[in-house]
Amino acid sequence: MDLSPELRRQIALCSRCGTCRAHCPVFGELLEERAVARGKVQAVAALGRRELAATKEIREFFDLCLLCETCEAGCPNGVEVHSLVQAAREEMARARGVGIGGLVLGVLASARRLEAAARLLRFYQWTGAQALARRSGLLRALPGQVGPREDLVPPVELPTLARRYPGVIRPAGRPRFRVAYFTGCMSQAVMTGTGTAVIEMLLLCRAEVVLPPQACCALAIWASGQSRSARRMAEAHIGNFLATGADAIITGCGSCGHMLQRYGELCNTQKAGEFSSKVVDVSAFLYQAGLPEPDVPVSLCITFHDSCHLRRGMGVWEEPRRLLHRIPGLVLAEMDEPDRCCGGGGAFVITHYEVARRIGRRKAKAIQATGAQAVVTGCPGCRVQLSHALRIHQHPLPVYHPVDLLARSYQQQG
Amino acid sequence: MRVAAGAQVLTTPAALTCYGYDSSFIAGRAGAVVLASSARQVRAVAAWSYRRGIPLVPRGAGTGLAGGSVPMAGSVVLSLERMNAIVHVDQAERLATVEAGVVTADLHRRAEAMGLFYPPDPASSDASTLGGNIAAGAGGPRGLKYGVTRGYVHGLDLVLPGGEELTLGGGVAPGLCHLFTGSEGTLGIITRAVLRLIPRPEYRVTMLAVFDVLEDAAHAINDIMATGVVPSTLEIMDQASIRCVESYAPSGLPLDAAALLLIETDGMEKTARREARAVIAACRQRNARQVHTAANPVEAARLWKGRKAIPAAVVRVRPVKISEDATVPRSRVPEFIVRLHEIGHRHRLPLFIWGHAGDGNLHPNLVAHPGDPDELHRAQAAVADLFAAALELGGTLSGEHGVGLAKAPFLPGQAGPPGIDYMRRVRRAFDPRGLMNPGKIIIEG
Repeated sequence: MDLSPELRRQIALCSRCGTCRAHCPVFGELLEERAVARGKVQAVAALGRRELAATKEIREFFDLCLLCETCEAGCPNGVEVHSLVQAAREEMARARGVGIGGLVLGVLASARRLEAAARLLRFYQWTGAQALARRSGLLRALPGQVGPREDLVPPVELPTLARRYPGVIRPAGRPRFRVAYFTGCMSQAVMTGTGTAVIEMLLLCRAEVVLPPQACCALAIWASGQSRSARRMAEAHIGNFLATGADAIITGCGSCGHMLQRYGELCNTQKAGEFSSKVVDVSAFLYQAGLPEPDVPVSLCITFHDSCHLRRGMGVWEEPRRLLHRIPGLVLAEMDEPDRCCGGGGAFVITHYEVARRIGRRKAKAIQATGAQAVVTGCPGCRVQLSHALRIHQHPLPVYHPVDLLARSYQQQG
Repeated sequence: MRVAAGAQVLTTPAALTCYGYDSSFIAGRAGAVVLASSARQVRAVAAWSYRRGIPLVPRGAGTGLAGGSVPMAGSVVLSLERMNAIVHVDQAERLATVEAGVVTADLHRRAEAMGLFYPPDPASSDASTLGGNIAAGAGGPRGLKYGVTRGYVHGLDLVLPGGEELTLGGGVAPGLCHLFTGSEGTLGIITRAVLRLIPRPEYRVTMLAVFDVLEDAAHAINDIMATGVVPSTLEIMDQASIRCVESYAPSGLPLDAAALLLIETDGMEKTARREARAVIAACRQRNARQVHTAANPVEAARLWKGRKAIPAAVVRVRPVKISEDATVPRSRVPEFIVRLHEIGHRHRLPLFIWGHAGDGNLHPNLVAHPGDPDELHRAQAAVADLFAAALELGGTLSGEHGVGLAKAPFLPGQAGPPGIDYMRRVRRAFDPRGLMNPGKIIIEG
């Protein structure tokens, strides 16, 4: 593997102090050096020296990373571990191909394919095939923990958000902002209620909301090492969103938002930079835009889970808490280590189910210890994993997005 | 390779890469890695490797700074990181029973939650293991008042070369416990330890003294000690370190200062405050321009921030960091600092000095470019000069990092032929075949 000067610089920054061992959630469960950033950094260096080759084992080794960036936040030397892991994954994809998993991600590449996939999944769920599969024990009989994994598949809600709304949604009165909403796959076809709540809250701030044509943010494809495909998807989004002339690009998902903020670096064009600089998480936007005071009480004790990509990636953790704090009747009971990764990590929970389950169990215990009646998090990916982790921990709690609760508290105003 | 039911054995290239380094600049490559989860597995591995004549390298978290856990080619790395249970904390007896792989900071937290205190706090506490701390003879900033790891080892469970088990301590041959503290995995494998705890000090005062002349700061160290006060921490930072860390992670340290002393007193509130006053007076007497006292724990953390970020800051100057822990008698610290600066100058290398000045344990750090053979060569020469200076001043090669591979070539200079011979005989008594962490501390052949 050829190392760019920037990768060499990153490798040189690592003093092998091992502080990452204190932070890595995967290490926390597996307790071995292969899981931690220090090992990944040294392995990239060894790939550069041709001491390691792009074998199946090395590919799996680099796949064993959540890209949660917890190690980076704790690294005294500021090593950008995710760039090194990503470079290695690209090398693996180049040298060994992307595999079935990588190809499957292709369904996310366009709005049309995404819609078709959602319909297919909806068919499986609505026809009762899912219920049958679950009841019949077929899922349990399949090898490789297909059964528990299948529980992760959230119910699809059709029509998709794009089909429910016109391209431009106007607020009552003169608009104060014009924003473009990047829904992400989940709010588009799964948690459409949250997507609706995002739009409602933006309208309450008197923002004109534009819904440009869009597909997946490309994080999953990028993280699988297919940066060229990711760049193509990014370019389509950059064109569609900048054409709206919006002041801000709103996301309701930490992972999507963090990925969109990475477009500038990924595409390395001025337009991409402009696009990325406009990306704002919905909670941060609502907080800054001056959402009116909510008045309908929501009597609920909640705990807040920080999505890795929302907190460490986008730097958003105070705004959602402050917004929630305004809701009358709502009590926030902080859990231990609210910013510890839930183990979802996008495709990680599917490819490394057992590790993800153990990380999730730790999270579920922390949640349970607060006595909260519900969990709130700003990332649909975390939401799926948290719901699953709480279910298998026998402590099923509802998991909300901050805007879901905000929308409840504004119901009578809207 | 089947050595013990349950122990995970790794032989793939990625695994061998990941267990080939520690926090020093040295790397090697193991033949295999065993991740042990119990003393029974450790026993089985030790018996198996001895029977086969395969060298064994015990490893905790791999945070050592002397290459003590770096494997020589063909050896088996025996990792204890999975044995991470705090078995029992006895509040009445103030004793903690821990497995070797317990992370140091985990014991800190557990003890402090019970109103107790485990003082040894090496810089790597968040990741390092207690077994590794014992094996390396680790120290840390609190060593001045509270002593280093050695003083807290009450008992040890060991697996000897060949797989025999041995429990030491509890009044039975207690001196032998100390033989294993600092043995760097050459005598046996620590699987469990009983550690002493003390009551948690109720109050702490954190001070930062600013000096315009480096020698004044160095002399102030002895002046403070002469007052009769034993600060819990007495750290020095020289100007190069201050400027370097301020450019990397600004925390408001004065850039024009020649040196800073970071000092803490602790204990009962009244005592800690009285001692702090004595420290401040001693610093002023030695021309300290300013002595800043933290008003609260948040401010104290801010004062510590700069000190803690130095190691990360200096690698930004040049990536290869050679971090030493040569230690001299406290009274010779001023002289040692002068000599160190001369050495850096002579070899044309950036040199940074910080460390636990109160117990003479300085951390002179040299940095070099990895791609510059001439510079690396000069760095080696500088390290040799640095050790020579420490020994001339009646000091030692290592205050707390251990000898490992990095300092093994220099040990004969300190111990002399009889010393080396004696150490070799002790080692042979435990390990007649020379299979426990070979090449560390003493170079054979």
